[in-house]
Amino acid sequence: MKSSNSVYPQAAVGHRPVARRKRKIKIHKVLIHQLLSAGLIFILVPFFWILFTSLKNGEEILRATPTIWPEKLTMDNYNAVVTMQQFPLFILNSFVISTLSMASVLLTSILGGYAFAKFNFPLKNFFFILILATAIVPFEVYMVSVYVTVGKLGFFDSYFGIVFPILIMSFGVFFIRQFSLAIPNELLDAARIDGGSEFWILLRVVVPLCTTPLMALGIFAFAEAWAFFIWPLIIVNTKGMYTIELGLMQFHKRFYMDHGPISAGAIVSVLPMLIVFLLLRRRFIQGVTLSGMKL
Amino acid sequence: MNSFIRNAKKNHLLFVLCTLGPVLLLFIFIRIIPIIRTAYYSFTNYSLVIPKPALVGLENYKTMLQEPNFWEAFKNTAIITLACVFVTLTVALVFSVLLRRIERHSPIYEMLYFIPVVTPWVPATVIWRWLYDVKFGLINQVLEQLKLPNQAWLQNPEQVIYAIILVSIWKTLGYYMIIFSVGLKNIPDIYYEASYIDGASYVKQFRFITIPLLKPIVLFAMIMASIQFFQTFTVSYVISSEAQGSPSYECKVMVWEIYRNGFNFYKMGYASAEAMVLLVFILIFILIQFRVVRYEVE
Repeated sequence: MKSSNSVYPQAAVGHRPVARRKRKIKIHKVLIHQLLSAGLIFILVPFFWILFTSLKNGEEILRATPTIWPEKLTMDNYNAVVTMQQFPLFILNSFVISTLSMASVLLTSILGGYAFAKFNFPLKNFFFILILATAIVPFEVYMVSVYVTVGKLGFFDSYFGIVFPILIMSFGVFFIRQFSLAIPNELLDAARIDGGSEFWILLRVVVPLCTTPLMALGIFAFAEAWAFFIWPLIIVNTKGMYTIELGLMQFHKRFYMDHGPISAGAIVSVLPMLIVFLLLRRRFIQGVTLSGMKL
Repeated sequence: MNSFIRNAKKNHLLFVLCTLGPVLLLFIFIRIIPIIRTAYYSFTNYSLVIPKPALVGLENYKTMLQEPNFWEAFKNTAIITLACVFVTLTVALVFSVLLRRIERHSPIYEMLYFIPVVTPWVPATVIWRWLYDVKFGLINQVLEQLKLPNQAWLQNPEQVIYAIILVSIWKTLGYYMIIFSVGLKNIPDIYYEASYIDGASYVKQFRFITIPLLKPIVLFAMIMASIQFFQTFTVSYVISSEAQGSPSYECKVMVWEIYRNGFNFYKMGYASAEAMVLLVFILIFILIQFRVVRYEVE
């Protein structure tokens, strides 16, 4: 991002005011850092508290006078979670579901978004508004009906059943459409005259030009699917199909008093998303930025 | 050339049919039909235990209005939505304005504030539930150090809703900070410079430049946030999930009522009626926001 769009900064602002302004801003900056750091305490302390708790043994957690740092580091809680609670399996399930959802959302969004952006066909606006309108209806409103459908199809307790409602994303179609609009028609026509078929153009011209928004959308879809909770809660009954969210929830429900293992479970379930975020943090933030800009 | 164009047009339609066709079918099958069918179910006594559902007219809606659970859930959802939208967006706006003044360091703050956003709701709530613990939670231990009485945040019916609101704010603040940062970056600096020459203070600049030019983004954020908070469920569900020993007070919210009636009692028709009411409330809320923000622009 450009930091200044000013045309004549030096000419417009005289020498003296600039000097005075600089001093003023410096004081402000210290205050701003203090305020934002205070906010960071609120944001980060919960994570550290749960991390420290997960490394303490049961006796130390329930001590009358609290310790902040664990006196004796122990990995017992993590052992309990990983070996006894099948958390690795739940993480695998979440991973499979999120990947399926991401792939499907990317595919449908590029197909739909590109078609809406660059082609004319009957009822185009009607269909587009129809898809957009579904974006403001939360899934919770029609989940009863989806449940009946999935039940009739016999997909309870299966990957497909869990992924079913998140195979598509209306925001994704809208998002890719906005970016496809920016592709010059001349480019597409040139490819057509060169004899490229429409599918070839989509694959070789449009997709490479939309890499950035597709990456952002993919991350967004993956994260959304990973955090999807109410639907797996409804349709998954066998422990083998639990997502990590559901696994942590059930574990928490049954062993509420075992603070150590619960804390370890929370850390383990946050970790995959946190690692993905730290690796791709610029893409995450870019995704939000792009969606804000393409309004 | 003419035949080339005609051929191309035919090809285009075929292409659209092949690409958009399946996508539209999916949307119709997964979104449109379920929404319409939910509206239909809401007028029936549909239930998994009754083999043949019958139309019952407005029966479900009438029962709902007399149901104290529904009203309690409605009240809680409204309070959570209003409080979260207001506090989250205000704090996010102020913080993002401050971030603009320390441009060089803003990415690191943005990243750290974003961590709760990528933390899914279930672990987020589990983490906070431990902070709220009556005896061993960090918050009560701090209170103890300050010689203040312990608070049973999750067991006290009056306090549990504040506990839920706090978790929700914590979880969503970073997202809206980024949204607002984008909007702020799109405001040309020249406005600020011009007003600076005219002697405008920071507060005045904020009021007369930032706020008016940020209005579309604020409206977008308000709508996103209200849709998000109207569907609040996971926090209340995890916080109030029955635990051995110390059950927390149950903070009923609308989605939970839908879930309970639909999937615990199998009253699908009744749950659908509640779902339709939720949808209508969301639409009204969005409409009001459109009105208010547009009115203020003029």
